[in-house]
Amino acid sequence: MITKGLLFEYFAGNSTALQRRMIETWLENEKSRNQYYEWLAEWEQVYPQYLPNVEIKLGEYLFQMDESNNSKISVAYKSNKKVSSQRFPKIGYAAGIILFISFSFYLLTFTNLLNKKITTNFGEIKEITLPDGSELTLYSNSRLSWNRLNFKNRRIVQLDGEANFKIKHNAKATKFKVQSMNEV
Amino acid sequence: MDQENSQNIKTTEKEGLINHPSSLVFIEKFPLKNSDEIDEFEILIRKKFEVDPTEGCTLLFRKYYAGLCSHAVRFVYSKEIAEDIVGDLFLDFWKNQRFEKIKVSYGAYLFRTVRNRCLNHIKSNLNAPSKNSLKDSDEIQEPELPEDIIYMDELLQRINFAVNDLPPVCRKVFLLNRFEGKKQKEIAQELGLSLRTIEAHIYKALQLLKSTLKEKE
Repeated sequence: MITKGLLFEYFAGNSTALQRRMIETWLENEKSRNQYYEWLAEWEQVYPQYLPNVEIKLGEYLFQMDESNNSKISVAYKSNKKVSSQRFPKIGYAAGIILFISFSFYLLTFTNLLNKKITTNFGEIKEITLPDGSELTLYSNSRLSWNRLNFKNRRIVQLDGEANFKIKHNAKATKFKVQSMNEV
Repeated sequence: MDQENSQNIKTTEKEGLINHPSSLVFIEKFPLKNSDEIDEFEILIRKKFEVDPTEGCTLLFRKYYAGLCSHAVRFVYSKEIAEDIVGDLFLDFWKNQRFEKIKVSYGAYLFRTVRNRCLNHIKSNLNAPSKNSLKDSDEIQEPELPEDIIYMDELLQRINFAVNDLPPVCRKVFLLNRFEGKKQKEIAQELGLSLRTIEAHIYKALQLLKSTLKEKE
């Protein structure tokens, strides 16, 4: 009795009082409610009030998700570098470039030779054990590096891509820091 | 059944093929409660959320964003406000990882929540006393009452009629201002009317809409 056609007429405001009561009864069941909303979504696709620009808004959404990610400290670390053409750099971009240039000079001149680097290609996953006993899983298309000499004192690694960390507490309880390789 | 399984394993070992166990077992981490009617999209999306929530949210966004905005605009009559409401909804969905706790279909959750938020918005704008308690996302775990669903649909119709019943110029000004988001000055220029006239039209429209909505509260 309850068909998509009936619901479409209902959404358009073209149903009788009897039909509305039928629908109300039908809605007592949760499956029906799921179905109701599925048809509503479909109806809105067929008879939209207006058409928003989905791709642009999606870009903004992804950017907001990223921003909220960076304010959290999580063990599964995903760096900023995964940027699609839909991302919005906004204001920090210029400052970021300047920082990046000066930071990369520092990296190149002082730390390049001392860095232990590990790279994964597309489809590769590597299990890594750091000098302090911490373990991590480096996912595909990622790079990890740390200062060979200094790691015992300051546990800092640079990550570009995605990794999952299992940090081991050390006696001095020094903080374990993960830095994005292209720090913005 | 056990015999069958062990036989399978032996066969594959003989053939030198290795069936990776994880491809045979599907553990539902975020199961749908009433999944008798298999909605393929829902199943696909839930699998995605287990692996990569960002991609799950992206898929949901692509599928539902336009529909949700279109639906929201029927309540709030402003494209900008509709997009804000829907955008906030998706961000909340991500931040609070709603995808883990929702037992109804994601489409049902999204549309229901958008409707509630639109209603909140209308009520705060009209300063009207609330008849129905407005559910926050955390309370969405309670099953929805059919009468509440019907109420929203009827509200929608009432808003639609109210806007259509506005006097023609008043309606045009209201839509240009509210729906299109044009500034009053722009509208005055476009229609060749004074700014005062435009302001008066908008005020009148809002008053008429308020009274229509308050009537049956």
